[in-house]
Amino acid sequence: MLEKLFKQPPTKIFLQDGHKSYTYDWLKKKISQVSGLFKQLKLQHQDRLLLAISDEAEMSALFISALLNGITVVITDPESKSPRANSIISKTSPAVIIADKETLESWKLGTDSDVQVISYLKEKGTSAGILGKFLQKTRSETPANDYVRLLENAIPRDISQDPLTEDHIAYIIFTSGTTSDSKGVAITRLNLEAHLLTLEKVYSLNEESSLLNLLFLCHADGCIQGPILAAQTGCSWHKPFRFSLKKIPEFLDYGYANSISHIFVVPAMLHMILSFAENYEDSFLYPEFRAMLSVSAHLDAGLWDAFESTFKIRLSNIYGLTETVAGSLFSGPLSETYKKHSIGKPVDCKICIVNDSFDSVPLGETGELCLMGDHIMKQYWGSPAMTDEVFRNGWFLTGDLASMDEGGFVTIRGRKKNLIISGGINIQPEEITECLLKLEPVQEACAVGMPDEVFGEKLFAVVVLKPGFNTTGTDLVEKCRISLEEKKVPHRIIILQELPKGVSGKVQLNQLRELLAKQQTAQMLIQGNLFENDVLTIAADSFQVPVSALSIRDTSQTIAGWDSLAHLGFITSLEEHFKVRFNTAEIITMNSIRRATELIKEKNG
Amino acid sequence: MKLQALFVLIVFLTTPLIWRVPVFWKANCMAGITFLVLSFIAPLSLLLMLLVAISQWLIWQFDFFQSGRIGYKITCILPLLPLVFYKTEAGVQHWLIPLGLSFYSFRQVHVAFEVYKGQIQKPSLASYFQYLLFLPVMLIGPIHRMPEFKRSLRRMKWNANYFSEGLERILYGFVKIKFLGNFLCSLEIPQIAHQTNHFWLRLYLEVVAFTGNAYFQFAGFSDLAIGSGLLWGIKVMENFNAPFMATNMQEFWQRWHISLSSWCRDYVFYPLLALGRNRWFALICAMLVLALWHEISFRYIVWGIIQGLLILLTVTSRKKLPALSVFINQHPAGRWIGRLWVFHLFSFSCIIIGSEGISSLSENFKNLFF
Repeated sequence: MLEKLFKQPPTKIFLQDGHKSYTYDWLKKKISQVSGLFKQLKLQHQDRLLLAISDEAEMSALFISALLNGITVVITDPESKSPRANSIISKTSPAVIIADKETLESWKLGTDSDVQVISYLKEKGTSAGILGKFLQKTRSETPANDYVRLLENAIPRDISQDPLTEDHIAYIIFTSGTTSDSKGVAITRLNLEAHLLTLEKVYSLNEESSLLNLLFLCHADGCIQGPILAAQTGCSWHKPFRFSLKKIPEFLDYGYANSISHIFVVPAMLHMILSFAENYEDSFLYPEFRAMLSVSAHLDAGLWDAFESTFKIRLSNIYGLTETVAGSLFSGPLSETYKKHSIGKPVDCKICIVNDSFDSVPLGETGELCLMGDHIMKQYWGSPAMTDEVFRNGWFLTGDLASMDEGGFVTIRGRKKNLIISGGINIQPEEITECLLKLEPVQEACAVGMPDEVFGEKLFAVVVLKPGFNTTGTDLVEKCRISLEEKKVPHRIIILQELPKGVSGKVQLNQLRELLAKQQTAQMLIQGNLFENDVLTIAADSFQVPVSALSIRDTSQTIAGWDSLAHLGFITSLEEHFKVRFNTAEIITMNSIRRATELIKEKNG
Repeated sequence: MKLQALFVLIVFLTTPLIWRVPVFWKANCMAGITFLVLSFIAPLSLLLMLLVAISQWLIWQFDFFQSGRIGYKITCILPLLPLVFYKTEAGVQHWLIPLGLSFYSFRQVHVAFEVYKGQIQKPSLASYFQYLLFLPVMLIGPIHRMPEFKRSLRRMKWNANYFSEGLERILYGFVKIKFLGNFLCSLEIPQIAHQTNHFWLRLYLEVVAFTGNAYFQFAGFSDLAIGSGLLWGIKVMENFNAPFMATNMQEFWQRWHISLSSWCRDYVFYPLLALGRNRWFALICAMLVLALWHEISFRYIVWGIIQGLLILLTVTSRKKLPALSVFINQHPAGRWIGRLWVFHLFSFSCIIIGSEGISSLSENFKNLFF
């Protein structure tokens, strides 16, 4: 595994992190150094090493070194809060923990454990000269368990010959869940090797490829389809910055400037990119570009169409789970698996779609999607009961509802399991409910996902307060921030007198969702989507185009009739209809229907 | 011409250096070269540009005059003060207009206006200087825009096609200026005109040569700027898009000196439209600014008003005479009639700016039409 990384020219870029380049020579030396550190720490095959490092270069080198030394990596989010981190540690009993200094401080680990804890503090500025000398001096004052110091003192060591078996656990990633039921997905060496070969084939990767993957390294799609895939194929991986709205122009230009061949995104990113597409439509029209790969979450048909028509490229949709390393079914980039609005076809694995009796359903009918292949995990770490729940006759039950057409293309129809996927992040509602129930004022709680245009789903929570307590949803959201990672903090917490329950006393999720949907609709009537229709109607009238031909994304560039006179007419009509008055700056900047809508929303509070 | 040729040569000679330095330093390197060149050739102009830029930046940075966003409005007006001073008669009599002032002042207004509108973020001083100190466009424009420039910087990578395209554009530029402009329109056609005994034809040929020369000079210099930019890996906006292929005057002004006409649209026409809600008033004002940018004088005021009225005529005729408008803009024969109409309208309007005074102007028109 990962043999190609040792065959790359020393100066070839392994990771481009902003303006800093890490070559394959750096990686090889780092692996040798880290291997020496592992020996010094007396880490044996199958020992667990928990990693929670936010520095991409260091995290990648450690992960790759551990894989090559047969040490099982427990991949943990550096933003994990103390209860979850301690739960993961108690479940996996790692021999060594290497984590960011700040992260370790927030985890408040017990001191009586045998685990060796190493803290990592990213060096800031390592330039030579006076500053360099100063840093050298300060380094001697770092604590004995400082990773950088330990690494400097370690004796470099070559990787020994491969003595590992295929059942050897390569890494464990914990899915979202309560402290008691979060699942540690244990991926074996066979799973990983098999899937890396599949990805290499499906994406047509070679040593000339360049991957742009900004996803978090603590998630499978970030680490496997980033550094590990790059090391496997001997290509370069780019992670120049964290994705944010402000960075979208840079993101769009990065591909061309750096000859990126494959770009990994989640649908929420695609949605945001699309909002900033004006004047950037040519961003992916360059010779080296090969594929735009949507991973981690359901790709909405409307978003798919809009993205392809705007950027004039094919968007590929990858279906997979943490349990399947990364993917399983692929709609593109290969033409034979590509079908719009589907998850394509399975590659290097078998699928079946079954009903509740585990009988295959006819073509076109919906059932649960089941997978079988070398890349599918064999167990949840230390949880045989949970493992048994998801395997039947050797098939892995995905919990997703799907149907297959005559051509063998599969389409996702819904979800059987109770899971919220928000912006590509999997959230187990029970984890949120558990957190809320620990708050003093909360008597009952329930977390649900509500459909959202940008994130796919948005996390909402409904609570009932204990008698005598008086608090607001906003206060509860703030309290959740103490125990939950930012990505898992509910978007809104609504306080109700009681939760809708069935005769057995179980919370009726569908009724709860309907209740929330009604509340959302009421809010939209005041400030949201419903008046977008009014704006579209006025725009259609002003620009003399059918309303069906317009969308919120249209701009003065895309609407032929949007000249200065029509612009003035549009503004006057909006002012009359919404009883608002635009100022000079607003009139000048109103160059899209979205902008008009935003301005009216602002004015109406 | 010599100065622009020198700029092209400097860009050409420094191209290997630009492509040698790391990506991070490329923009600074280009600004540094421009800074050095201007320090030697036009230190006053450089000083003026930097002083205005620093003043604007300080206002943005420290948010002076917070009430009513007056600070932002000051940053929009500030670059125009030296421009107006030098372009008025008093200025011209005592001083030489600083090199490239008309272009970089309008660039500074563009940035200030966009910051005011919230369309771009307040630039850092370094990125603002990088944008302003870009040698290829210093002398004769175009008035390129900051977002496009920054995008070009982000997309910078060695591209052999860019390089060869750049050389090609420079060649076209020299051909337009030296052969088509200086030789054909300035020497040959006037010579032919002088040989003819027909007075009207002689005058007509002179008008055509004047217009042709104006176009080839302007377009040629734009080609040199665009070509030089490409050598450094930066795409500069097109300034001319076959203007005499336009079938009406509104389209003509979307094709002629695009960077200036779009500047006037964005920073004069739209703001006045938004303020007064009167399209025609905004249009005439925009065309006046466009004209006065060339020279602050009576003949340019008249010329600007006429351009505005011609656009107004185009728009009105589209409504009042839809059949004629469809014929001119859609029928193949109609399109050629439209092109001839546009060429002649523009050429004849140029008599105003080619004439020395009112008497000379009336004489020329009398000879041509009566």
